[in-house]
Amino acid sequence: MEEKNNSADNPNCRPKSIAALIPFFAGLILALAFGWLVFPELLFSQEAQPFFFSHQTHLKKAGAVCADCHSLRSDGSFTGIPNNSTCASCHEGILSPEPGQKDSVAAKAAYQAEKTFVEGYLKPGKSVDWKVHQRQPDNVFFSHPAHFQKCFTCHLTMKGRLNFGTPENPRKLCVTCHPSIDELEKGKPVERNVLTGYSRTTLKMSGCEHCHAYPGHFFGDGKGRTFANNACFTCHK
Amino acid sequence: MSANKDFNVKWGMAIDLDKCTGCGACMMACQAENNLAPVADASNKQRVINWLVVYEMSNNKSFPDHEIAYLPRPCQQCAEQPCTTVCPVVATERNEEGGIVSQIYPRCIGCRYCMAACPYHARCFNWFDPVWPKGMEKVLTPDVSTRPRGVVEKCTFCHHRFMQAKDKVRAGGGNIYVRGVDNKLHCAVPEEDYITSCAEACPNGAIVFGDLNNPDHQVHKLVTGNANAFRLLERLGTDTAVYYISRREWVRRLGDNYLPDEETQKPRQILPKRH
Amino acid sequence: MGFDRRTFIKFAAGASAGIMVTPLPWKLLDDVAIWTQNWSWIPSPRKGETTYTNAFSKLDPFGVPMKVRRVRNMPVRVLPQPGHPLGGGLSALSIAETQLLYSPSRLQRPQLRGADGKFKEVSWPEASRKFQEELRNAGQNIAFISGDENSSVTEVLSALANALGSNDIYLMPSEAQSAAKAAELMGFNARFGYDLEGSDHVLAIGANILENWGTVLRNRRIFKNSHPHSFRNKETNKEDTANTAALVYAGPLQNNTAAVAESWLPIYPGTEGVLALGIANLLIAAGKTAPAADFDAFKDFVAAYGPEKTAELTGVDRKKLEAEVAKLLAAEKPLLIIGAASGSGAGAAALIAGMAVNALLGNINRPGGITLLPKAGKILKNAAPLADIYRNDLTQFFARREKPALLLIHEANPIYALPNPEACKAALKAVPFKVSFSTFMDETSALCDLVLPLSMGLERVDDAETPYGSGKISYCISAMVAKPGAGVLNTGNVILSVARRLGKDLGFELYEDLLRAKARLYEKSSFESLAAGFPAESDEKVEAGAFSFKPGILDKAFALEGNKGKVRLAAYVRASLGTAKTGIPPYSNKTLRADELRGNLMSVLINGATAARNKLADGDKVFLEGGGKKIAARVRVFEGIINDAAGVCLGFGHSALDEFSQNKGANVMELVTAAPEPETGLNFWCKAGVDIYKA
Repeated sequence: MEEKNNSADNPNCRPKSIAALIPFFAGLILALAFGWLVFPELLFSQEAQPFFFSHQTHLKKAGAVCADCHSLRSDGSFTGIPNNSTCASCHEGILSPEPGQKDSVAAKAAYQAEKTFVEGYLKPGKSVDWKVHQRQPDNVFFSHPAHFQKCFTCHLTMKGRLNFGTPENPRKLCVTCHPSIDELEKGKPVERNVLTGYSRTTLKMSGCEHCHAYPGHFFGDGKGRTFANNACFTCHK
Repeated sequence: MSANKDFNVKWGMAIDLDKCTGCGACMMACQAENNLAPVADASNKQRVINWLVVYEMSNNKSFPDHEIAYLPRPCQQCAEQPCTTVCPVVATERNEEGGIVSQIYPRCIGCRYCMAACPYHARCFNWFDPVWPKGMEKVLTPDVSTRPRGVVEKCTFCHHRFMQAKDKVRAGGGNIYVRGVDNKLHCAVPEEDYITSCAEACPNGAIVFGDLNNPDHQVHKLVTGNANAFRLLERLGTDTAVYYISRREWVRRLGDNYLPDEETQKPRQILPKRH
Repeated sequence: MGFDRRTFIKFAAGASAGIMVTPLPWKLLDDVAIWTQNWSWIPSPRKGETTYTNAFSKLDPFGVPMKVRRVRNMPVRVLPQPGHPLGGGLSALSIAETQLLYSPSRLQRPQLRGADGKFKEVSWPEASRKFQEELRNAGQNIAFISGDENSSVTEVLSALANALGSNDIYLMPSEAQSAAKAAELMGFNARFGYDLEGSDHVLAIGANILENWGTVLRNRRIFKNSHPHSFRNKETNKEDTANTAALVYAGPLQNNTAAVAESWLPIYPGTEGVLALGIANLLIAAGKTAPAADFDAFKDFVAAYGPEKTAELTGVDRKKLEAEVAKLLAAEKPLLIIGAASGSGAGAAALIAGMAVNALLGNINRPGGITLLPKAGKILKNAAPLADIYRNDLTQFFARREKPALLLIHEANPIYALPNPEACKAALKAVPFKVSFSTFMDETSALCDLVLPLSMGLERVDDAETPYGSGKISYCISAMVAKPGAGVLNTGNVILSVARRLGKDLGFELYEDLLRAKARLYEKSSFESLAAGFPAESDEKVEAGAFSFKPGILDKAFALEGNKGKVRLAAYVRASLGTAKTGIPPYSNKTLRADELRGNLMSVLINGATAARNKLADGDKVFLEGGGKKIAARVRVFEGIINDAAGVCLGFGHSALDEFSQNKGANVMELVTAAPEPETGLNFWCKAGVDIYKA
């Protein structure tokens, strides 16, 4: 950016005749720097995850799909973060090889993470206090089944830009609202807005409105049928 | 904000005043379900928040001819709402299938126009922040958000239970709206899967909840063609979704502020009847 | 030139322009808006998986089955348990049970009164050591009070008392006690069961059966089923539905039951039994007889209670009385239920008179009538049968001069609930060592020397055997749905272990083991099924055998007069105000109307004629005075109360417990004094007169 060139001009130095506007530019540049670089850092605090967790490992190496851990209960509610028993369906004991056998950094981290989970949480029956990247505020009722049902109807069969995957692998549909697993890799800490308490990746109402307030959704099938209702009570409680 | 919308589904209640003993279980169940805060002194009724209030009614005769009845009053969920039309910020509207009047707390600016407009006193204002004794916030239900000072709130017919019931249908792979034998769209949520907390708690079965438009629902059967069913202040034309049932004529008369010399059976309609 | 004003303005202008093209103002504006929507000090509900567990209320004495909704294993909501024979909907108190877990008056640690007279927190081992030591020192000079007549804890307490050589064990006065006494005097070796399901005409005298008498939720479910919603066909203008059973209420005021009853017979408070005699008179005149041994004597006795006389004594309208008796005669399965509108203190004579009417109607062991149920069983050898414990009268214990060296009180608040609290307080103070097992810091616990914090019903495994008013024998076990805090224990376990350490092993290590053994008494059930919320039921009945109506007892008992006053006190109960143990649950005071309680002044209900006679008007602040005590109230002119009676609600005037119970009205019990009912010896306080005058 430009400020590097300009920063040579000390804003406090005595202005010469040509430099009557130096204070103006100094203020401008300082403000720009503060607003673009410093302020975003100030606005978010970081919350570390209790221990290392890799989505990549689970999806790519173990071949899991999203719904293996994040699924609907029979009452229609969404499990969200899996609980101990879900994890324990695989991680009843430590699966990773002992550190001596394989010495890569990743392997060590994986072993340590598993050990922490099995010994620190599973055995004492303590639930893991995962920091959630996308917790909605209390006044929002987000229905996963409604989105599965309604959005899947078209977006898994549509062609081109609006195709969000296949029924077998609707991952693109998930990442329409959720951060991708690459973004969440390596136990990424949650960046929490100090003012609002929202995580940086929380989908805000403007995100919801992309579909809910999009007229195409109101008249999508040409019969004036509401696909994405935009009444307040559709999502608020 | 759009008033007088017709919906395929119209959630409503029939409250049998001949069965209500005024015990208050419905009010308690309402407060617990909807996360209202308890208060130490609740005798100043203008400052106390209740979504459902049970009123005592009297036939105004002297002993021993006196009779008594109790009237539980939730939000009447009008089809012609006086409240939503005055809201300057669209924090309240009736815009969703089912016809429940919404109230969005983060959007409400606390001007209280809606309270002034509501002829049923169904709306309450949070004059104070809600305070729970230490630890008691742990038993808040997860379904309803808590409200801060400065916003208006009211009965929502336990709308969160509607959302949950719909999700249950969806999780089972079903569609929410299905065409019935009468060729109209009805909600596929089973009648017993969506009832309000008050109706559920009432030991006397005085509150019946369901879809007023669904001929299979008990509430529809109870209010259609029943000369003992009436609504509150019917002549205002608010077209409410809460019906009351009583054999007693004096009770029915009290539902609409009749003049002593006025005939009662047919209230003069100001606006067209919608169903 | 330096950094002058002009430079500063230029700088500020630049900064302002710059800041506008950064996200700062816009993001901040948005975030501030969101910030105002999520104040950090407004609590946020707990989220997570919902599960349901069945339980049985131990706070509500009227037999309330519940289904508890838990979120991540913590209870958040009490919901009705469908299909339970005692259930149907919820009572106001049971709904508040999850909130009461966190009541500000909950006890978390044992409290021991120090030498300075103040409580200090002690550890459980220290507390139980002290308790044990005091028990040992007291020897057999001990007395126990239990506030839970349906639970096996009473049996455990009785077993310990007997093992230590004392049979001084008391239950809080209740309808069940009056009924037990009446059954005994009449010669029934049984408990009274009420087959409300089978009856087509219920006459409730005094007993507020839809609010606080017997198995309330079951009563109300039966009422619901027998009273279909009215449907007057618009085309024919005729009712399409009809009630399958009638409900008539007789009592001093239009309470919850009267509000929905087909008709209301106003009578003076305390004249329930006399009204029953008046009905018996008319039934006998109509040719009814009963196989009672002393039927002829009874017939002669009730001859004096003709309609004229009954009307004079009870205030009932003679024509109405005759019409109601005609309805009883016309009904196929009429049932008379008699009880105290105030929930206790009506004595046993009224019950005998009521049962006599039932016998005249041919109701004994007839479907839709009175079922004679076998008495409660027990499994601890040492324990006294419940029927024997009912014989001991608590009010007389407090009145008696010699006091035990140690008094143990389990889940009871006699200082608040018994008549004449001042005298009870003095009596309690005279006991050298008092131990209270209590969930909440109530009036009684506040006066004790050792207070042991008790787990609440939701936090322990406990049982309930055939609550009074049931139609048949039932047994319910309540599962533990919430993990108790570290500092609370349950009485059963504490007593069992103390007994063991005193060398009086009662045969069970844990209270739960005892309940498991008890569950085996019910063949078709197991402990697991019972704890899962499926009660055991039995249709067992006891043959009537020879019984009598005891006119001699009735004669003397009904002659008892309470203290005189300008008006008769008609105390009534609102179940939403909780019990003496719980106080007013959070949320309950929002259910009170402004004409019931305003500020801390409660209402007294008098009708217009009574108000005029006493020169009072609606809204007047008055004092009610009786038994040397006075309480303040505000007049509410209410036409649904008999002449010369003052209706006052019980449940106000707590001095202990929490902010939801304190500073609200006054305790009506202050105005009354219990007297032993002649012949039956049972406590009686339902006929008190009070003075009313402007403050």
